[in-house]
Amino acid sequence: MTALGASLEVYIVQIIAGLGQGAILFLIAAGLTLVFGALRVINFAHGSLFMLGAYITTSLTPDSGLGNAWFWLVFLAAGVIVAAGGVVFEVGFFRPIYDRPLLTQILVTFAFVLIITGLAREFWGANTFTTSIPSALDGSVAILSGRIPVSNFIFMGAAIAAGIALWAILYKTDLGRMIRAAVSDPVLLGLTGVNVRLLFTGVFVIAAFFAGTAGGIITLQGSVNLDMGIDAIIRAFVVVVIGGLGSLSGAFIAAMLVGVAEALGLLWVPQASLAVVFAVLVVVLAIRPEGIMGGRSN
Amino acid sequence: MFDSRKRWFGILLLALVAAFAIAACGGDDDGGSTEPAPAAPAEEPAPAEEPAPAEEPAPAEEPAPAEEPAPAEEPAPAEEPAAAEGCQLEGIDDDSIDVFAAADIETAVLGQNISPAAHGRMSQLWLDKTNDEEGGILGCQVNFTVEDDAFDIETCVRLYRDAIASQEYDFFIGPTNSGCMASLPSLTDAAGKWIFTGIAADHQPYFDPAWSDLNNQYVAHPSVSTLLEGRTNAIRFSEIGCKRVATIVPNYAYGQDVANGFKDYFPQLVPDGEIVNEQFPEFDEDQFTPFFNAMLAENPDCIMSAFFSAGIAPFMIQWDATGEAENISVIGGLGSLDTFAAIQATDEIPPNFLAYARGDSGLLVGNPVAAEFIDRWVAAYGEEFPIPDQFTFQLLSTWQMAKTVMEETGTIDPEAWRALIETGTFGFDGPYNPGLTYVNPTNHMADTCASTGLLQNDTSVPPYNASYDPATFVLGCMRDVLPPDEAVALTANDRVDSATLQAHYDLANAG
Repeated sequence: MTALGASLEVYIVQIIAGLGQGAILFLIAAGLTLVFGALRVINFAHGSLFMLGAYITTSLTPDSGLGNAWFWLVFLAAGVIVAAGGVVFEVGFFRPIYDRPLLTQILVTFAFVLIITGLAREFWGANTFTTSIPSALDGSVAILSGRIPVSNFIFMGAAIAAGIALWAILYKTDLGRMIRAAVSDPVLLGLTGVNVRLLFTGVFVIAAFFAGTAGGIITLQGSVNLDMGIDAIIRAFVVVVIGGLGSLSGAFIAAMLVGVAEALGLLWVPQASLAVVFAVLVVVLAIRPEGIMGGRSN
Repeated sequence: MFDSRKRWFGILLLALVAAFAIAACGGDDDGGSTEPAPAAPAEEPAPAEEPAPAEEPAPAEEPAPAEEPAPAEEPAPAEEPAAAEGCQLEGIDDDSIDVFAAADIETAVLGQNISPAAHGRMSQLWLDKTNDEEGGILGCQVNFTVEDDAFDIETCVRLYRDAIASQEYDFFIGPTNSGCMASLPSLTDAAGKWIFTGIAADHQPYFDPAWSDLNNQYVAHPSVSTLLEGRTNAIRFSEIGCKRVATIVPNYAYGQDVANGFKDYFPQLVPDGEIVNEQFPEFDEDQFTPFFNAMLAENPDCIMSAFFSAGIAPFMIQWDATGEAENISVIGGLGSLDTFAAIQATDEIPPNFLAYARGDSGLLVGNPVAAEFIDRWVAAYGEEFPIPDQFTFQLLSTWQMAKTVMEETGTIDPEAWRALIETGTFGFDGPYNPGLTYVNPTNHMADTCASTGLLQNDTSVPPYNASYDPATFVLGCMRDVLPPDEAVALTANDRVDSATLQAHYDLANAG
């Protein structure tokens, strides 16, 4: 009852589908690893910001139809709104816990998962939402013997664009230089006159923006629900650990690896495809406990 | 400065507490209260509603019987409410019948159209009629307590454990959560209390350890089951001519029960058919492309799934994107009002896209019991909830069965109830069948019917954007999909002999 003996064409199609899923994972994991890399906080609420982006996008795209061009504005607007909320979170609640023990940080960020989910349930209700998909982004593309939804290619493009944008911010701007300096020694950076608190807020806002836009773009799959934040953060956390905590390039490689592994797992062992993902996690950590790109300069 | 900040912080805290308190006391918006308290017994109770005349139009779900078979034990006539004489039910210690259930009635994790509608609003309508208009059951008021389980299995089981330990309740109604329901019969049975499964009535024929090892006796299933849904899907696929079926069934109790019902039955109907691929997505899966690719690699001609409610919509949208909708028939799952609401665009439903129902109100409107409560529903809640969802009829059927059991036995004694249900001739006035709904004495499952049909775009009942196409429905009824031999094979109940079982099937087939 498995497709273990499937043809090469089937495998290729499945790998492409897996890359699409990996792209979504990267879009979520990028902000998570950025925050950890710069602020040393494992922000479990990152998945909830992703969920908020999805709900906001759904709310802003009624089926009366914002056109194809509008979709891009709407999901960018979702990113901006979530980023604005990120300012409140960071200044009001996250800043006080930067120097607290890891357990405190995890508990506080997890508390926000529950709070944001509860507020979303209150505001949007418990039902799964669907979003009208712009006609240009609907449908599928024939590849070999299969078809891949257009949305999967959008996800891949968005992941590449997000990766390049983050790389450019970190390595080609003064802001990025300061962020990297803050990772090395925030106290010393502060002595040079840089407002480190504001810098950290900026990092958090960038991560929140990416979470919001990732949530917006995921609506092309047609499903928005209250569980998506928790589901996303679990998978993204696996990606970040495999890639190396704080490593952007590691997150990209790991996301693609996890997406493809899960997709191939559906061909090999459909009852336990998630086990394939965690097998990858175990193998990578056994060989490189710091993750694929962990410990390297990022 | 510090003191000033503390003061402001204190003021802010007080304001927040006050805001929460105001919000919490902000009013009860509908009949879905957690503890629907019975109204005080009417001093001069209105006479019980006349049963619908035989000339009532036959419901769409089943053809009208040619001749009403006479049950061995007719329900006691309710010509005079007994409230004035007090509670006449033997074994009741406080003049009221206390019933408990757990469901996500306040948290509404599954939305407003399932638990809040069934355990809340529809139950309240039934309680209003029974307590206020009929003076209770044999003069006993019915108190129904529902505690919120947030659709969490552990919470749900704990609530039932606590309720059983309190010894306050005379019987129990099942939760919405099928994972929780699977744990309950052994608990309630050990306590010597009945549980009527209600919505999550999914596992009954597969309760083998409970039934044969623990000799589980006190569980009844008054409404449509997942076994029935799975087997009705098999009937539909056999009629379409499917030979190579792939299944993509969520990895939780309800979905797997539907799949079991299907996989057991499909080979019986299509001997040369096969299940070519099985996928097990998560309950809240939202990325289906890899699953579809894995299934399509095996060239299925039909695909069966068991998502439900609004969860069908993303599955459907992504299925449409595969471009295979013209070639492959798909059953997406249990389509309900939340499914219809989640379908946004009028062109979102792909061709050959089916779903199954456990009593769509459009079908049941011809049934007198269902029609009466649809009218009551529209009068009470129609502005906010235009029509009752199918889950509400499951609770209605549950209440009707429990009521009939009490009226016919005149006691709260669980052994008397079991003896009645296992006569093979026991039936009750439910919302599903035109005549009495008979109950299988072996497994205590009511002879209800599920239906599988095409979804269609339909905006005639706002806010819903879709409905079933009734012309495409196929029916599967328990008497057909679970023949006596298999009922006995699945459920070990040595108390019921073959003649008793056959008596049930004769009545059900005649009805």
